[in-house]
Amino acid sequence: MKSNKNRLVQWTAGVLLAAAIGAPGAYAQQPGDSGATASAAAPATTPAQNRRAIRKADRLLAKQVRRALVRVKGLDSGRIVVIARSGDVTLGGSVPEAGQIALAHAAAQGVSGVRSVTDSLSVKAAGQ
Amino acid sequence: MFSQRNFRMAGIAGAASLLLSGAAHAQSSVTLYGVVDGGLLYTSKTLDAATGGNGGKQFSFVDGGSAPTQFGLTGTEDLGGGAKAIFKLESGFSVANGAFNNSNGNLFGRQAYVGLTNPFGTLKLGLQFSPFFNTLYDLDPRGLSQFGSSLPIYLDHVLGTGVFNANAVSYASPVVAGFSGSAMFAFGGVAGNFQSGRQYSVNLKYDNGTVMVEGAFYNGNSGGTVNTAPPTNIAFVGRMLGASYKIGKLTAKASFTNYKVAGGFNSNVYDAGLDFLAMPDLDFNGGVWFVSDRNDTTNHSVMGALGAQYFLSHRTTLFGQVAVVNNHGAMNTGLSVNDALFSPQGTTTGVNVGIRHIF
Repeated sequence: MKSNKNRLVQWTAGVLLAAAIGAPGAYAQQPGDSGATASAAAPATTPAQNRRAIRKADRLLAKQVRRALVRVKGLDSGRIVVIARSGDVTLGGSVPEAGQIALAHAAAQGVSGVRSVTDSLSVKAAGQ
Repeated sequence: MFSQRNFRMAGIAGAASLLLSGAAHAQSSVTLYGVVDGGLLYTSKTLDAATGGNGGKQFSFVDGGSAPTQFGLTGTEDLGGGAKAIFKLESGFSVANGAFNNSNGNLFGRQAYVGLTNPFGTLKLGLQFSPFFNTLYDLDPRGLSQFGSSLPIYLDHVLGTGVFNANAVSYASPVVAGFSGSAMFAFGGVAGNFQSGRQYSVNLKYDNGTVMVEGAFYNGNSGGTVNTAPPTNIAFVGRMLGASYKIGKLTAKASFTNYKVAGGFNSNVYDAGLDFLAMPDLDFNGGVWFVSDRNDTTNHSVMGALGAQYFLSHRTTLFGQVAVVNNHGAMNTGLSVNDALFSPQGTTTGVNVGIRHIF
């Protein structure tokens, strides 16, 4: 719910921003413009493209964290869910033993691009 | 709630680092652990064991609605050079009345083994889960819940066989380039007849963090010297292949399983489902299972199940789950391991709510 609200706020802000700078931005994108002048009048990317780029970066970071977790000796990462949001990583789901929570946390922290790690892991083994 | 959790985690991490620095040599531990799971169960039909027909609806207290109630002792002893001795003694019981349940009926009737582990793998000797059963756990979209998952379907076919494997020796490999595997052999224990009660199982898994593919095999003979209730020596051959894919908060799983039971069903089970961690403390999952007997496809069933879990803490969870099964012919797929393991012909709807505490 919280993340949805954030997304809504971001989206609304993006629309307002687009409306505010929409008119001058159009001039900057005239065909034949070298692009050197574009930066003066308007951002090179629209908010929608920005959001897409951010989401893509988040997905890539989550993938890198999952890859790091699966390589940790003594950690079963099969049930860990990695949620990345601009460098802030949340580890959800479960691990089979309590001792593995610290392993997962340390491994996620060690991935380049990770700013913070929040644990929300529960302990649940096979047969539990 | 989150700040509380973080605080608690920081405490655990701090304690762990103290322990690590203080006892670098001969580190040993014994841990008491367990699951207590109780709730309420409703099913619109029940199987009348005497007639095979519908025994009417039930509304009851249920033990182990989502996870088998259990307690156990597990320990490790550091032997140096990366080697450790390990053991586990695990008992299954009922939170409804304190009796033995969720086990083979013995005191440590879930798991009882001793073993060694080092960087080259893990060896276990004793009563233990088979690689086939471990793969079932990995591939089930609903975390192998005791209600509305691959678990009731498994038990419907072979009861405790392959779950609680007595007289077993197993080896599990370390993870090498994403691959890992394990093999188990269980002795029947009958003098002069090596094949009686003999069981073996293997599995192989590949996991790169995003894509996981896993297959398993089980082959067990009837007989042997171990007689438990529920039985754990039903003769069957099991095959399983499945995959899981993680994207963001979603985990998708699909699998195919065949249970070829001697003198019984030769069932193909097709299963697909999703797990969605909507928030770190709120999880939704669901799956669909199609079961068809290759000996006579009149015997088939379709089951669908949905579940929600709210994690009050790392250890305490509130859960609710709903499942519907439609049985045809002699197929009697049940909804719940406890109190509804088999369902009669036609459509049965079930609901289970409860609390699970893991310690």
